[in-house]
Amino acid sequence: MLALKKVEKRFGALAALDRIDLEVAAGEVLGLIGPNGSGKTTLLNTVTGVYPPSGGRISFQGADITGWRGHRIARLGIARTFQNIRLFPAMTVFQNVWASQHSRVSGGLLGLLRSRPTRRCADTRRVDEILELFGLLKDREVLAKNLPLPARRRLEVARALTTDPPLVFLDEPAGGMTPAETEDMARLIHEVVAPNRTCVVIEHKMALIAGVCTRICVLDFGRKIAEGLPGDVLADAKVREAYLGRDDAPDA
Amino acid sequence: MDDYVITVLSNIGMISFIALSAYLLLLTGEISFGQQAYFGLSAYAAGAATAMFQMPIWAGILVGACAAGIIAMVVGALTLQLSGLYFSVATLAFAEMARLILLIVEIQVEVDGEMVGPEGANGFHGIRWMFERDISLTEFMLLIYGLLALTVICLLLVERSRLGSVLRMLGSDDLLAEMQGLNTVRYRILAVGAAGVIAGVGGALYAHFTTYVEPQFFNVMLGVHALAYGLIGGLGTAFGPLIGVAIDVGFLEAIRFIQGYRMIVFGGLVAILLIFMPRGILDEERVHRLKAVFSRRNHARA
Repeated sequence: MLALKKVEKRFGALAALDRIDLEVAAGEVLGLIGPNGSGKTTLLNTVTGVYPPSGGRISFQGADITGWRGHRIARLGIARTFQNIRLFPAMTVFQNVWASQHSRVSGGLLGLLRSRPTRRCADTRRVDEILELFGLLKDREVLAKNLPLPARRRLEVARALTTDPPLVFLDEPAGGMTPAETEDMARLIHEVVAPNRTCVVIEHKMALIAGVCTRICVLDFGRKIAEGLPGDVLADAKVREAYLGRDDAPDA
Repeated sequence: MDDYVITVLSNIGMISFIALSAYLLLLTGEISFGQQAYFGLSAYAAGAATAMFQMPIWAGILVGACAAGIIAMVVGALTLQLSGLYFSVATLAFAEMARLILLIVEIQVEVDGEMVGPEGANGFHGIRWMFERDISLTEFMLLIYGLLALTVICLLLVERSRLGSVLRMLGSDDLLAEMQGLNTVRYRILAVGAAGVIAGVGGALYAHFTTYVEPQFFNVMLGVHALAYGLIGGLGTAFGPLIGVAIDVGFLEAIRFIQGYRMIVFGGLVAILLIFMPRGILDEERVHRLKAVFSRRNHARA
């Protein structure tokens, strides 16, 4: 579904991604792990078009999307969340999800003008359904900036699903959460996000990774050092060294 | 109403256009110090249309607004790579450039045995549409407020629609908007063009109300005021900048008796307001709360 071939991203002399080869198969939940600064978020940013890769090719569902601008990649069906939670703070919970559906609206400018969040229209119902799934319906009219952290994380994931993308990247969906909240997020990923779509999860919390991922890929210093089933990878010597060989506090 | 009151009210109306123009860009997160240029260019273009080429007033307003919109989009496309402070400086530079060009432009045509047209630093005299048609100040004021109402209604409709959310997405977080599939470049140019058109309508009216325009009027102070209206009145709704204009012009007129001190008092007031209400009186949060109150009342009634 998504294929990276020798993808490189250099910031000056630093190779944040060093010739990464990676295939994401349709329907899987891939865990992307690695110590801080290993290039996980850079990989996500490169795939979603925040910046173009310095080298290599990226293709998605057969289309070469190397160097495309972010909005085109998003429209093609790759959605994402952000490690440091990015919401539209002055919009309500409902508006945050609703506004992000605009690429589903046809008819260009006039279509956008005609589209209103009325109770009856299908888009509104779709937003409410998603909010319900994520336990956010009661906070529908709350401004996003007034939500507590776990709810903001859930809102980000809910928003990523609003256009029904075939591929979703979750960047530390349980960052800063308590174990109980993390468990809740793992359940949501397992029950709501993963069915019917492909999912890539970047996370430090092994409870979440081991619980939801069908496969794991490990990055260290911008290189892929291991890949495989969760049980095998987490037992791998190189992985243990990368994680345990130095101080690695989760950056929550 | 006496002429003084009508003139003040008309000025409030015409200035409101430039306030709404700057407001639209503030929504998309851009601080433009150059909206006065579109006001001024349109004043010249519309004046030329009616005084030099005998077009009717509606055509003059249309010519002025379209010219302003097109130029704004070209400038917008050129400054697209710039954001924040750099965009502001570029808009300021363009506006000053436009003003300096108007200072040297001299194109005159003979109309009824008289030379009419822009005369460089002497300005553009003889935009006498109002006198030729015997239009009273009151009637012209109604025209101003009619067009202003139309503009406000359009902006309110935009804000209620998905397009309004799109503009606020741009203003809130550019990268996030792009990641939601929004072509930020296209909508930014669109917003810049629409803001140019709105300023242009005001400029076209201004030229015909005063019958005379000069480049000096469209200096950077007008642009700074245009920004201040939105920032004082609030960025939560299109009524915000209108409240800003009413406070600015009304307050300054009301404290005329303290003469030279009034700008000092006013400046201090603006500074205090911006410290305590950084997004204006009617900011997003207050508008949201007001809406909640209204919808609850409607529910209670139903």
